[in-house]
Amino acid sequence: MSKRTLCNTNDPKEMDMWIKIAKAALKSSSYNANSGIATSFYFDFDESILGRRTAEGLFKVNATEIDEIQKKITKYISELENKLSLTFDNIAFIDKGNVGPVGIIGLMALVAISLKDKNCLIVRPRKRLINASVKGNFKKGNNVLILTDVVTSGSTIYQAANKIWQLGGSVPCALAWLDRNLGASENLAQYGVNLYSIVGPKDLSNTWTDLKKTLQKDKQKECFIDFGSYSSTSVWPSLN
Amino acid sequence: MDKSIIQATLKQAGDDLLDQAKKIAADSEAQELASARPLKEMHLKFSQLIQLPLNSDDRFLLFFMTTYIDDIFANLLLDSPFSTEIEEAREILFKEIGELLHRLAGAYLKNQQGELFEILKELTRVYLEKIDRMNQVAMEVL
Repeated sequence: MSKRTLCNTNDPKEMDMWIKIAKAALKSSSYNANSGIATSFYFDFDESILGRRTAEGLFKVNATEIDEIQKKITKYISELENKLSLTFDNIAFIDKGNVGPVGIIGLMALVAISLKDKNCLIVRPRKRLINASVKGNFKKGNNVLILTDVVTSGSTIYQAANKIWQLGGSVPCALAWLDRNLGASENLAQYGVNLYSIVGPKDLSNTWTDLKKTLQKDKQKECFIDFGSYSSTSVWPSLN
Repeated sequence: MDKSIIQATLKQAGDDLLDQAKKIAADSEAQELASARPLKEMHLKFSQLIQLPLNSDDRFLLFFMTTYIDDIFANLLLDSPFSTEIEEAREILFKEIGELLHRLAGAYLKNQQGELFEILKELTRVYLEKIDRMNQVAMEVL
């Protein structure tokens, strides 16, 4: 399988930025992913963007970093187009509807501004009316890249892709900030969706000890963050 | 709690939806959109009542109706693209819901649990069938 993570691990400045985001967003929690998988931690992008006070001080992504994130995402979208030899007509963001995080929607505005030749979409998988489920300048036959924050099993991406398929579009690819390696890549590949992420668990593995300390200082429940012990494909029921 | 409050709320919403349907049918040039205000008013009333001590049947009825209206608002009313066919389907839906709320109010007052359950199933059917119809229309247009 080709490399599925796009970050440049040889660039300490870039990696520091992703690690800072991970620190700002990581929470120990009783969280159920869209697939129904219960997890003891998750990344809350709302709080990383709004700012979160912890025992180590205020974690907040500043304006310069937001600008840097925007540039990196734009660059990675371009790399994916080259890698897959196609052009994305639309960049889609998922409005999960009361199940957050919605911080990624804030980033959408920035990405939309920098991608002048592409139209951004909001996909709302929970809408029953098909023509209300995709907002934005979308046309039948468009290639759509779904951009999201964290992928667990890929079920949210599948639901969003399903709305686009129903309207006659293609979803050749999805890009997440973090793929938790819980089977999403394999699950989505069954439907022709190539999943890429900016970072993977391995890219953050050196910082887990640090992150654990942060959580302990905040008196949060210690996370179970051994990604490797999950099985890869058993978490998502077959949709065939 | 006095059953008459729930019964009167159901009946009022049914009356208002049917009055609206009559007005729209009588004046096809008015271009009036079918309003969900009667459903919203019922939702507000039931959302308050559900917090009071209730028997399990009443709690189930109020929970069903508030959740049902939430689903209608989330899927049919907030930010849905306009089309004549969809608006017509929405008008018919509101009229059918009005008729069913009338029946529901009667069955509730007479404590006819079997009939009441059948009406709730019918409310679900008319709503989901209209959504399917609207999606068919949308797909034909695409």
